[in-house]
Amino acid sequence: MPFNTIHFLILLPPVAIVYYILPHKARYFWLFLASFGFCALWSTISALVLTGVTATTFISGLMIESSKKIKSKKKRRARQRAWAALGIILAASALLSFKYFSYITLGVANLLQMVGVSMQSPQFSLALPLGMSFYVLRAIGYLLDLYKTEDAAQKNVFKLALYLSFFPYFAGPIEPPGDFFEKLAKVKRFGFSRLQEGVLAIGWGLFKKMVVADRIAVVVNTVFERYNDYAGFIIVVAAILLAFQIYSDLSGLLDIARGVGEILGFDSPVNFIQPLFSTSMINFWGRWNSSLSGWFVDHVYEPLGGGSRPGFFESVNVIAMFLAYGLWHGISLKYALWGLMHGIVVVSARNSQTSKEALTHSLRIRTTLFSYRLAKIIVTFLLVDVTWIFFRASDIFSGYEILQRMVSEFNPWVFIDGSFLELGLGRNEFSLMITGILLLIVIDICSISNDIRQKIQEQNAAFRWLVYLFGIFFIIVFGVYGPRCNPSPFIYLQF
Amino acid sequence: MKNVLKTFLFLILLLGMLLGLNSFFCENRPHFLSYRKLSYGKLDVLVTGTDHMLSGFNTMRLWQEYGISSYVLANEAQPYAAAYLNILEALKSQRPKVIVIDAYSALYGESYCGFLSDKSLLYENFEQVPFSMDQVEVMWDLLPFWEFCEFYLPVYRNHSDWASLRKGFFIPGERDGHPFAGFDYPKFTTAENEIPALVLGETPMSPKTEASLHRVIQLCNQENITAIAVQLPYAARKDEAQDWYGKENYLRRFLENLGVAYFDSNALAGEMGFDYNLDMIDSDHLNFSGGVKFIDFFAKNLIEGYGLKDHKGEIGYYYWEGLEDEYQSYISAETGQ
Repeated sequence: MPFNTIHFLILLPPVAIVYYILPHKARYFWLFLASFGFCALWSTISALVLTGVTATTFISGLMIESSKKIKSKKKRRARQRAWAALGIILAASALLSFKYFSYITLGVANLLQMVGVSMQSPQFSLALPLGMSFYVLRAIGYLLDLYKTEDAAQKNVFKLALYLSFFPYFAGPIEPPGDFFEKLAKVKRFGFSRLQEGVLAIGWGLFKKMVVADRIAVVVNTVFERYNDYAGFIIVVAAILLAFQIYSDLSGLLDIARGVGEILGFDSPVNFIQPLFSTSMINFWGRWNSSLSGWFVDHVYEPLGGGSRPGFFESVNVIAMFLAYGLWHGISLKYALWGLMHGIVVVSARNSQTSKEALTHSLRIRTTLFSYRLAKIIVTFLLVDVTWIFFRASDIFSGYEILQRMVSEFNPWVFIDGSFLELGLGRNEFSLMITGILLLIVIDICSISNDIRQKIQEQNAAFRWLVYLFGIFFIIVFGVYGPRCNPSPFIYLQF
Repeated sequence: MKNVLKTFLFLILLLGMLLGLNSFFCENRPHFLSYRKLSYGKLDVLVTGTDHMLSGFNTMRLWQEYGISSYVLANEAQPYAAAYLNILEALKSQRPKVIVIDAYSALYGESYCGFLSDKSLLYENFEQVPFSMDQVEVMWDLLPFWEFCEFYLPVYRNHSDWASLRKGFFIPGERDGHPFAGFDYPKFTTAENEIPALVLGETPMSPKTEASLHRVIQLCNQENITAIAVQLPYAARKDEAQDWYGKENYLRRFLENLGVAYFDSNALAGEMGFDYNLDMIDSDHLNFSGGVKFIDFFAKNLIEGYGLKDHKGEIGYYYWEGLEDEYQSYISAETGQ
């Protein structure tokens, strides 16, 4: 049940009301039931797989803790390592099986063919259970944390299940387990201000998804799926729109998640901190989906050695982390390339810091000026956007062809001859899309030095209500939903 | 407490806005504006039914030649459930002597008459009746839960129409194209039609169709109004003939059991002097001459069988008198006479 459906919006209030009516001790169980039900509504397989991963993670966690009784440190660590590895392998295998089922069977079929055994690959693929990529990361993170820190394992299987599958967070953010259990333990009282902030976050998320992202998706899909029919500036503009689509889709999803979490008393950090205004790739990764990238830093980069050996090895660790990040999206060359590109650019940026400073100094470029910052923002945006092209294209060859077609023709007349109105959106819809993007940028700029939600909360009731009603009106009238529209699912739901 | 009151007030405002948006985006307005112009007690014949009635039941011929006042509350693919609601609404301001029920609606195959896959017709038929608890009851019975919710949320269905908003688009007004007491501008083209042979045997109507028709007849009985089922001439397609004629046979027996008269124009085509190649614009709809022949024959039935009188020259029939000139001008322009 995606967030941008009426079913979810109808079911959320009763879930929240019952939550606050129940005594504190019973609330986690109610949230577990709601989360499990959310998963089961998606599909029975989702619920079964979640149950399986929860069970194996829970048991592995208990066994890691029970291994503390072993007096010999070497044996204790070996036992803990074995149980952690087992739990991680089981969780990861489940994910790999679903995600890469068709690739695995094709690979097996090819291998068998090489030795003269013919095998027909199954003509179906396994639909990924809801949120699996995320709760498997949580499970792996939980077991790794238990192993590293020797903290106490979660003794309540329902609380662990809730951590793994908390329904507002099924597609992120990924919180450290300790933080989540700490929040779970706190008594939460209903607060109107928290409700208002949560509703504002949900509204903003729905606006980004339903008004902006889904509208951009029409144009992007038209161009990327038939890129051979387009060239030059049409593809350039579609590529730029792609960046806004991914940003508004993903940040919209996490805004809604954050809002729902806040209504239930679970505050989560902001995951997107104006990433469109990043001044470098390193800066970008500090602003983009920080909880997910933080997970890869903590559980891939650091275990590989992190920055303990600066220079070549650190660079390798960075690239390996980004490669893993890319492959987490899917076992495909395009995702691997996406990850590699980011890794290489981040490493290059780090290693060339001194040279860049020297260059700007020698060219007498004043780095404190707005123009310099703007140039860096634009360059970073373009670099990130190039990687998104490969991410979105059907494969790396298509991605390369799309880049080629961008420069194959110089056709500035497309900006005035109505070509953009033939990409699936009429004039009014296209104008609305541009308006939505501009509003997104303006709000992001304002958010740099202001907490917009806080500012709205501080205003008089009449103004606040006007903002809320206008926002709801905007989403209802201009959102892409309903029988005559073709809304896209949240991009990160497919992962 | 203050916050609770504020929230409550906000929710009221929100509800008001949603109701306003719902109303604004409802593209099918209730079509009773002209109907309500009729003087009370001056309606002789109320006609419900499908687009066959819109093109075939010539209300102006019935008025001009016979002084019998009639009004057509029909719509494309109107099911009996919608006819029921139309009659209920119509009876709030009129007391016709005869209600005509279109027998063609009995031939629809699906559980609620053929437009299961065409929701626009569903909405068109039921949104044209003003909101009422009867409507809610009928829709609740007819539709699955989420479709029921969708029906009462036109903003959910039609909000994307904002992109084609233009002046007058959502303003309630007369029903376009049905200017003559619900009767359409008559057409003058013809078509070649082949009439398949009649079949024996019965094919039952769909259960919901039968239940709805029963409800309509019961309503007429309760109100002491004579109901007549009328089948306008049509040429069944060969592949549908078995099913349609079978249903007609079933309908005939059904109506007989309920004591409702059945005016089967297909069976009376010879007596009417009806020619399927000259009096129809296609296999389903009558043209001008077909409508005239039908009305001339049916009017005799109304006068002799149900005692309807000629009201021309009487006070109170301004509505029909007012349409005569426009109708005549249209016919003259089309026929050159």
